[in-house]
Amino acid sequence: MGFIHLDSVSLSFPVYGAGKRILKKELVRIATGGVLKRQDDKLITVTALKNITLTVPNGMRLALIGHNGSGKTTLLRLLSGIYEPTSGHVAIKGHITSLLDIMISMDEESTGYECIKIRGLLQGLTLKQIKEKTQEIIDFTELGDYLYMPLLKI
Amino acid sequence: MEETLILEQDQESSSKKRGRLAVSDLKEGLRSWRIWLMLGWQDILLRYRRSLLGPFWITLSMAIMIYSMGLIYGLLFKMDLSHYFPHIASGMLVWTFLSTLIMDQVNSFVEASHIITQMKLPFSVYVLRVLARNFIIFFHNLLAICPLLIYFKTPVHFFYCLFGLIMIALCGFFYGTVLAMLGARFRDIKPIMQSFLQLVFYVTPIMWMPEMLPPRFLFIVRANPFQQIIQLFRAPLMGSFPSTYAFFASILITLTGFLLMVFLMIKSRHRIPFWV
Repeated sequence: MGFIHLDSVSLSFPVYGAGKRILKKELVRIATGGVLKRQDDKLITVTALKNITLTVPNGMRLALIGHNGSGKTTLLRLLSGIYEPTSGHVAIKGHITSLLDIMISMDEESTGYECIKIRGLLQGLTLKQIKEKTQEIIDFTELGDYLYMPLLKI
Repeated sequence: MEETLILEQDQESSSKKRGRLAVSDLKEGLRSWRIWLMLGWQDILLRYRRSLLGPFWITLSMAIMIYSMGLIYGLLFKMDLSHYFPHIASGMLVWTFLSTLIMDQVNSFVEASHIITQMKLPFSVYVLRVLARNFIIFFHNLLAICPLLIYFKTPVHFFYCLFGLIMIALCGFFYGTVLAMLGARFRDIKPIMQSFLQLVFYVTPIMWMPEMLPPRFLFIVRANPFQQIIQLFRAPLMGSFPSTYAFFASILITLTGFLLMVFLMIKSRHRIPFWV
């Protein structure tokens, strides 16, 4: 029986690329012994999740609704194990398969068959297991021989 | 496929847990060899897709480089070609391997950002993928110098060569993880490494031979960590043995890399998704 349990989970993360802590500033900070530090210390931190407590028992379907930037993706990434919480406790029993990006690791030059193989391996399957499932996947896509073509052309 | 995944982050126990998570990342990463071998191989397939020679372009361009350089510099420096040619060829072979490996590794988390932010895989997978990719390229390049070794009848010490490659692989994994983390966190590392490697190329006896140096400058060769690692593979390929000094220095370098990797993985592994 699988379950997901979150206990007062919070997650805040730094946002880089806003021109803040780049290496030069880090070196300046070390060299100047923190005199300049006060100006540069305002690293932008986003508190995306705050004190979330949630229990999803086995068999439950849960929809996540929220406005843009409310932290839906962040919560899903946390549940997928991509982000680790800043505080709180996460317990998940079972196998998590995230489908945050359906095109993950599919290069447009790859053929459909290669995509099946790559995705299968990323999912933790062995080549043998993938081979067993391939026919089923081919039938599902209804693409037939087009799967031999690069993704770009399908 | 039932598996329990428990992530905890309590203030008092977090450092111990980070250590455990770092170790399990490394272990799981090594165990996922199917993923990183496939990703590394796929990188090469895609790079040469629709080209006639495919990955053998790697062999051909390496061959063109070493044979032309060997001849030109051999004649320029007025060197005995039977001695100088294998020296520069093996030097360029190993140097190309190490320098592309290092430059790729600085980028390994950044180039995988689309996977890192969309699905949970051990971070070491991305480092090992770059390592696998560069090893595959290296083996293609190795083919390019085979005719030379046969022509000059070099007595290659295969066992020592293998040992050298294993040390390069270990260093590549350890320092690769360190570089990947630094490269993802500080985007300046990439251009810095580029310039740094350029400098290393000139101070390492790749194009020139240590015998050309006046003895009082020999410390440049001895103090150069790259030279010690390079010698581990290059010397047996050229039919001699790596010096005891190179042997012990490489072990020390590898151990240092291991400690750096473990330190950084424990300290900041959980922040990698925010960096890429």
